[in-house]
Amino acid sequence: MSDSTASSTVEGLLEQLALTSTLCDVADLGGLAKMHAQMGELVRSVEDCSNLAGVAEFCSFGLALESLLEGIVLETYSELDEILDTVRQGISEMQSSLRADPTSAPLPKDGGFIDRVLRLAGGEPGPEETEAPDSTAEPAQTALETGEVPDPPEPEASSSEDATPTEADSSEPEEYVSEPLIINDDELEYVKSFVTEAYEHIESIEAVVLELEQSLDDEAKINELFRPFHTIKGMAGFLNLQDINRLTHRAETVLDLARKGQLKLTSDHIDLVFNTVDILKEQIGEVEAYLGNPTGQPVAQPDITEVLKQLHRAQSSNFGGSGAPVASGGGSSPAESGASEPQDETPGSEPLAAVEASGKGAQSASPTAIDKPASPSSDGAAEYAGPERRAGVDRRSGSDRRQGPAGTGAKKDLAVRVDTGKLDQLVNMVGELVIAQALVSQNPALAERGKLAKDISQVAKITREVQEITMSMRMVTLQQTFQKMGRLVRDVSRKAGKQVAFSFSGEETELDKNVIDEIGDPLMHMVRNAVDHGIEPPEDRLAAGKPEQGQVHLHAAHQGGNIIITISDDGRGLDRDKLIRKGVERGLVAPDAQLSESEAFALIMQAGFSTAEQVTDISGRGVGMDVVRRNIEKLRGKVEIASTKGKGSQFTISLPLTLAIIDGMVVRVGAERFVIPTISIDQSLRPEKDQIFTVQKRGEMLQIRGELCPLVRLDELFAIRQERPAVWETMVVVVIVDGRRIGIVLDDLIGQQQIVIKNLGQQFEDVRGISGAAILGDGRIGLILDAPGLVAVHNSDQAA
Amino acid sequence: METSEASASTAAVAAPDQRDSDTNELSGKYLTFTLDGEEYGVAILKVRELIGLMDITQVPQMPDYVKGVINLRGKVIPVFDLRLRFGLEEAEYTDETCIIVVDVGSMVGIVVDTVQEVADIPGKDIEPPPPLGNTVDTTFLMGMGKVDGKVKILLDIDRILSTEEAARLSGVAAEA
Repeated sequence: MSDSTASSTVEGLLEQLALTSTLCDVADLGGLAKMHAQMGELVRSVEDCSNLAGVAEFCSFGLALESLLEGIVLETYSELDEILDTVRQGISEMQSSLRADPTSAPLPKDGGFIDRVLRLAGGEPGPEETEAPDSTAEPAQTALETGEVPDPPEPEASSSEDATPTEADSSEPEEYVSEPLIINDDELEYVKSFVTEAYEHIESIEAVVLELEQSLDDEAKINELFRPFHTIKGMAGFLNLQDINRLTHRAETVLDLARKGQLKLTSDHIDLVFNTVDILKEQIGEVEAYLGNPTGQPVAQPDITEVLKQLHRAQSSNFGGSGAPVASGGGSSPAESGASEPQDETPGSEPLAAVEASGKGAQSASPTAIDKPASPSSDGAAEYAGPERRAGVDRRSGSDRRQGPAGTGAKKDLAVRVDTGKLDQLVNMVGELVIAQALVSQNPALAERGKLAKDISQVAKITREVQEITMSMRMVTLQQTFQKMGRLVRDVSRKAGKQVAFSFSGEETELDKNVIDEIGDPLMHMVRNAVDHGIEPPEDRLAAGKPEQGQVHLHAAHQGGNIIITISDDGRGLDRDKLIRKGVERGLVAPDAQLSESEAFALIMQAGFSTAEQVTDISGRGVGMDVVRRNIEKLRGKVEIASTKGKGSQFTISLPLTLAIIDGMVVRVGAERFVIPTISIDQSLRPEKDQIFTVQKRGEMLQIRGELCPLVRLDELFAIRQERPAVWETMVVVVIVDGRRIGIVLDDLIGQQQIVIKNLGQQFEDVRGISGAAILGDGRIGLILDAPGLVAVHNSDQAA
Repeated sequence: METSEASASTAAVAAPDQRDSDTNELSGKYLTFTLDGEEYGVAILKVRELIGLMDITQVPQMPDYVKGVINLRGKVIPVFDLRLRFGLEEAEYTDETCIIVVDVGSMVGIVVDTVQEVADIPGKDIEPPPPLGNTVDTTFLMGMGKVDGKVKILLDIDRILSTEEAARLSGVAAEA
């Protein structure tokens, strides 16, 4: 980023900040929040300017200002107006500093002022201060009390005897007392956005920590991990979600040590992070649940005392007994303020703890060494690798900023959050528009009016485009879905005692949002199966000449009008004979039936089938795969299985790209019309007499290219009419179900058209063979056939 | 509500106040229609529209009183035949046969012989359903309304169309 662009962004931000600060006052929660956000942005954007001087000191200053703002909101200072004025002064000093010297970070020139701000914002010391004698002595002796500053929060401070001992006690983790969480009605909106953003951050965390696990020393990754915790902490603090704030603060403290090089992360730390995330999810889940039913009662909160203790212990190098000794715990060098502060966010984090601590009035904060900004360790090593920060964490959420590779600087994601309800409504209306427009264009009255017909066809074109754009609005990439699997693989492989490497490709493939929501669970189940059943234990693998570590790979791609997702593993593969034996045992297969390979494999998707020798608590109960299959068929997709014994398996899911509109073949049986989704059709033909065979005069079969395929008569199946025309006077449409060809007997093919699927409604949910209704060109309804369902009905009828 | 009315009527025939307060809730406007000579009423608030008979697309594997689905301005809604639902004889559809579209959570159409009028029935003219023994299922009767000397059977349309669910489920299960 060039100098001029750098400073102009910073300048712009400063201006905005100045404006907001002028307009808001201490009671304006929204304005203060905005200022806080803008301040954060400012700090980040200065950080990104690698060519400005004094970035580190500036960042401490900026973060201190952030904490002051937090303090105003939480009312931890008694002279709020003065604090706000201090902030405003800080902003204007930054502006003049920038004007005076655009080549360095806009740190105010007045060192005394800077110190004052830092002290005001000062909070408890970091863990390196734990040995400091006065830390445990008195409650709430913040630097504020050193008289430097107008009003320290002593009222709360002195009453903290009853409360908890100081944070960062040398050996004892602080006992944190959780208070009932009440969310006021006027806070609901803010909390709602918090929940959404928090979840996004959590996904971010999980993705990064998985990567970090592979390379525990990667500083860029540690930084990437630190960020979301810090952000959640800040937001939670603002909203008085104290438990969440406390939890994330502890986590952030640990990570902060790590990124400053004072703590070497071990796999125990990684486990703890996962644990923390799980609890965090619980916490946010409870808040979310409350939002769904805001009764005014306190929100349920999971117990965090244990994890807080662990997080505290994690600050020491021998956490879990496996850490490499590191310089943590040594007294930190006293404040050389600004001297060598590469890690700038620390001042921001600690003060919040103090601020929120005293804000609760029940906690003490340990005295600050104003050495907060102090950071030992070589500056060079811990330098922020700004440009690399965002590598790989590319989200389509609107709230993230994308940091490009060095040289392009930070740009914001241009996206708007839209309520999915509105999107759904839009899609529905567009669907109706398509139908109405089709009705109009098919009107015979158009034939005579040339100009009118032309205009109508123009409308048709525009409608089609609107439709395409609307559908694309609901498209979301598979990235997050795939990334979530990473964690699943890790957990399952650990539990099962296996070593599995997980990879994915094609994650940029887009799917309709509704479809993504629905395939999440089936995918997870299949991945779980791959790890649990597919991949062999390490010893078996070695014995078989395979590498100890198994591979599970997810791939997604567009193909035709569908999306294909494959889950492949290099495990033990499926044993065809074993499957058949089991099928016979369970009564799912006749003893002498001849099953093709794909049919044998398809057995595992039948209800009640499971060859797992023991049912692990992960999978193997025999209810999994058939639910998966049904869910996917509900989406009008299909699952195919390929496998080689000893080598591995591949599960392929194919799904139509859009839920609501499909290409269908309209067919006629008697006076009724039906629609068969084109994707299901293998071929259609008018059979010759000599291609038809009957079995016991009941089961009819068609011979195509040597293969015998059973015939299903729609008129019989659906009780449409009594007389049965001879098959060779009908049309037969061949579909493929479970690897077999089945022929559906109809009177006529009418034509192919795009149809909008209408759900039939709850009453018709269990009707097999019909998956919905379509409104045809003349306004009449054609029921949409579901091939697997048809076959199921046919088979049960035949058996009866 | 039915149970309380039933107990009210059996326990306290001599407590007119009690009865009145129960049936006062039922006062209001009803759309009246006929089925096989009997006259019925449905709360007007539940009625969305009246349409003449149109092509009904059959849906397989449903009980006989589920006639099928129709296209109501782009929406696909199910249609029930109340005669069959009540176990009455099925009749040929005539010019007067109509479909009443009601809102019972979702839109549902019911086929009736004729539609009569919108009657405003005050609470005092509504009596709780009489105990008719076990032969007649009165769970979906809200009450008996007296209009112009005639008695209209006031239906709890939500209950009819949802007890349907239970019946259907057991029906389909039996077929499966």
